[in-house]
Amino acid sequence: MARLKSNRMARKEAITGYIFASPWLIGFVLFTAYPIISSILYSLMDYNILETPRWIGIKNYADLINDRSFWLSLGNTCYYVIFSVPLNMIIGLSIALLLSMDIKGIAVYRTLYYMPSIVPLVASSVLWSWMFNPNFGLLTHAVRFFGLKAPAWLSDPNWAKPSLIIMSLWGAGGGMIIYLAGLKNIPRTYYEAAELDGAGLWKKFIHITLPMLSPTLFFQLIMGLIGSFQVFTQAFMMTGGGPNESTLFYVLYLYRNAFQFWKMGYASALAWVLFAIIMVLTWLNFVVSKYWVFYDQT
Amino acid sequence: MKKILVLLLVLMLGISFISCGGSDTLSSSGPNASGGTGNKVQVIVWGLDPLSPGSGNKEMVEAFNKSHDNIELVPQTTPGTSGYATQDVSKLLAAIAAGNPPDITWLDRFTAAQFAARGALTPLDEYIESSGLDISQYADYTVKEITFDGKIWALPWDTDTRILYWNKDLFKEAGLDPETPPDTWDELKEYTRKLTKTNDKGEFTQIGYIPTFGNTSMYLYGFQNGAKFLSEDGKTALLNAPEVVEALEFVVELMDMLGGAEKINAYTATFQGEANDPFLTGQVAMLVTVNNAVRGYTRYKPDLNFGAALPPTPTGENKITWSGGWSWAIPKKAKHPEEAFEVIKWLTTEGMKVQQAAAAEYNKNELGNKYYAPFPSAYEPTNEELLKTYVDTMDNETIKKAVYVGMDAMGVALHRPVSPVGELMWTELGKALDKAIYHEMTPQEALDAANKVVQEELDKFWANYKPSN
Repeated sequence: MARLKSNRMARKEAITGYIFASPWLIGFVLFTAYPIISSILYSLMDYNILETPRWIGIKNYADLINDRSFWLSLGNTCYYVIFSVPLNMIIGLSIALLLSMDIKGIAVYRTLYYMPSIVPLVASSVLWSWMFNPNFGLLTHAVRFFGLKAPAWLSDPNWAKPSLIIMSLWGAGGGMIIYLAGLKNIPRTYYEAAELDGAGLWKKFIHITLPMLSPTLFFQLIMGLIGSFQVFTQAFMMTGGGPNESTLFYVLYLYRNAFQFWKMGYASALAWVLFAIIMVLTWLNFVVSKYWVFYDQT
Repeated sequence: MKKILVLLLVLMLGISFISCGGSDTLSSSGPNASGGTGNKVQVIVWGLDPLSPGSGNKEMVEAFNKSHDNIELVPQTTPGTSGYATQDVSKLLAAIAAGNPPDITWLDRFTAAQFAARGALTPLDEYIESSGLDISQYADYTVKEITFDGKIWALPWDTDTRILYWNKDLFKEAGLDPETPPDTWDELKEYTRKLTKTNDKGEFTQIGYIPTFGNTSMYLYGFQNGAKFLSEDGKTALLNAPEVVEALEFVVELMDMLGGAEKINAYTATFQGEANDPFLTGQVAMLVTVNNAVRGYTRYKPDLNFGAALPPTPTGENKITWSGGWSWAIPKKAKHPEEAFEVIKWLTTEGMKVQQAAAAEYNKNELGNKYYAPFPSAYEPTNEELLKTYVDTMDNETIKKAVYVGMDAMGVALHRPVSPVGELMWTELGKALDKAIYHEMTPQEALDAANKVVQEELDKFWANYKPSN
């Protein structure tokens, strides 16, 4: 008899729980699951938003392989990722190391360095368009200060991507916060022990700081990869993909296919290919991580 | 008891979700919306910003509402519909697909066919007939641009033309006759060479003519050389026709003669706008751009000694220009199509006059400019009135002549090919131009690649096209 009673009560509680969770469940199904499944289905169709979609199987995926712009946009995006992610990590870590000191007023500096990363991307795109102005931009002045000739930044096909990479470094403060937290978690005792053995600054960094920070670094690497593969706003607002398609990034090309050429099916296929690429990279990172990421044993 | 309370709570949450999404989000956000008074029919218009300073839109909307007892115009803005911004149609597409479109939308004319071909617009022929509107009073090429499959899909609003401007003082300096602009492509090359100056570091201080600067595109050079870009039946893409290839080769030649696209790019990157427009500062001696550029010139430098003419063509004959412009269309499933047609009929015939009057007032009072160059209207009687009021009274002969050249160019204006893949053609031509001037591909290769992409899309479209009623 006791077992039956607890079953009934357990079931009652379970139902109550589900009822409470139902708004979220409904929201998830309607606004997340349904669009995702639709997107997969649309990628197998020819859909121009205004007319009923036509089933074409994997033709969209087959078309991508022969699409010159697909490879170009993928190349542009990879170029951006390869430079932006490591640089962001290095700079973020450097700032965090500098600001991990316990001096008076350090909180002000930490705030100042963090603020750029919370500026909305659209606003900072407008701001940086001016920074990159070949006549009056701050960057142009900075370069000329050293007696060098300033490039045309966003108007030069060779400098457009590097310019956007430089712009992304402005937000390195976002990573800084996370590294600071990671640094705070390294027990002082390790450093003290190392100092007793006569370790200098560099040795301490390589043998204590980096290994202890490796989970944080790993996290930042994965998040950085996922985020920077989807670079879009800067190109959309500042260059429109130019000059000469040098900043035609993957998501920008996707957006164009969807909303300018009205090829929703093809755009959906592009989206899923991007998902697959990021997924594979993330998985590879996890596989490689066991060689360099040390989880805290204390 | 507890279960009832739980259910009640969930019900309340559910109702609050439904009610915040379900109300008609289209009405009630323009400043003129009074929330539906009495039995006035509310006509929602997308793409009209009454808050845009100096545009005259507010006055136009008020004038309409005052003169029409039974219709109320409710304007709402949408992104990318000011001036030459490429219209961002994502909001419109979503609204049409959801079956909840505005009654009227602002549309870039050359994309109207894209919408019409996919059954997104309401054909206007029956309304034109029943209201007695004489469609032939609109500039011919503007009507052709919004005609697809034998029906008219929008009412043209304005238009622009592209003309050659040249700086007479710089001509004199270079030893050229200031009253004679280049007539042929060869003369253009020669004049450009004479009008280009560099300093001892090899940097440009003045360029005669930059083919990609201003507002030209491959359509200009192609049309001048007799290209069609699209077959008559709209089914074959002709982007790589010999005429277009020759035109692109000419552009590349000109760019190379000046030193190459990169070098020119470095110079154009230093150009600024408005008062420091390169034509006003003498950085560029000749340019082809829209006739509306005159407005900027009259505002910032009314004493500039310049001339205007139709752009030079390969042989000096067949002087043409190409035109773009906007229009008003009625999406399919609009709630009040008859009233909507009343609105757009008034807007394109009378409304433009009110708008321009208010804009001219602003121009004089707020901006302190002496001259006002009106926007060319697609409706010819309105255009004549605008010219009489604002241009004939000008006391500056240079500006008056330039405005008239721009207006007269309407007589030889061509429109871009009417096609369900208009945007794609535009983008692909731009891409081909870039590839050619940066020497990544030869003009023939670049145009072949562009043609292939467009032809594929065209084939796909026509294979599945079923004419809508």
